[in-house]
Amino acid sequence: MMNEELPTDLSALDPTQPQLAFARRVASVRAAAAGALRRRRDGTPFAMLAHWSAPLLAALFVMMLVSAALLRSVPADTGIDAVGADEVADAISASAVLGDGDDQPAATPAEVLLGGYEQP
Amino acid sequence: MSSAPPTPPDADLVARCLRGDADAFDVLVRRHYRTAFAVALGVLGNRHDAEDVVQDAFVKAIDRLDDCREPSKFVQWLMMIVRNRALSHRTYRKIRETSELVPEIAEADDSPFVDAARSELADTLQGALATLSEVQREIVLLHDMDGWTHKDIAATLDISEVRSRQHLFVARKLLRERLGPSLLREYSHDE
Repeated sequence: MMNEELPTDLSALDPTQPQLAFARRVASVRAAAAGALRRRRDGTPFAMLAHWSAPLLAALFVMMLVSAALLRSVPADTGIDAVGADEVADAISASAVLGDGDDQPAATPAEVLLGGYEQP
Repeated sequence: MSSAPPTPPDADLVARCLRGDADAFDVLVRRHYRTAFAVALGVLGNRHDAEDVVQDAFVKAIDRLDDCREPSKFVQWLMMIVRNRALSHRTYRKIRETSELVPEIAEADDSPFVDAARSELADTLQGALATLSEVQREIVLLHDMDGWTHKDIAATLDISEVRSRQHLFVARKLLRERLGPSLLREYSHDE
């Protein structure tokens, strides 16, 4: 067997030996990580928020859908029908304002209201 | 990386860590420390820096554990963090080295005599490893120190098994030239 096929003895570099030194290294790592472990046990405000974020988002989505449905139903409940542009024009007597197509001047609103009493 | 799955499985330990279980984290650290160290040492070439990076990587891992999509592949995910942290550390070290000289702090171990000999040997090994390329260093550490198979190394480093074997062969040859045969351990089998 060639020497290159034999493992090199690197045990002097092995950090798990001697055991006492390794125990100190592990304790050092554990002490350094104690804060992170404690945060995991207790739960940080951010972690708690993250924990609840999914249900909160789902609830918000449901509320949004319900609100949208309610808003759509409001015009139907008031009993007011949607009106078109022609009906609006009729309602404000557009024809009276525009005249009847003859050359006579259009009656003013005051004349319309007085019903001709203004005329001698 | 042994062929038999460890007990309890990493996925279970990760699930417990997500709930802040310190004991589960302890098991994960003990189980994967050497692997993480091998990767960090492969990138950095310095064991003290590698230890700092490993600790930092474990803390990052527990911080971002929710990002571990496949808990059963925790070690691969951890290695990615270790490698990234090691690369960042290397960049930082280059900047630091140009501005100041920071002496290495000797680690205190069990017995002064044993530790001195071990530390000297570790320094020698570290010096020899420093002459290898990064990929050679990583492969020889994962294979010879952590017991990884070429199949696992190839999958993790995204190279072929043949390439992994070639790198290991060259790495051992170079190490042997620098260290001598006394540091080579004879095994009856390779893998």
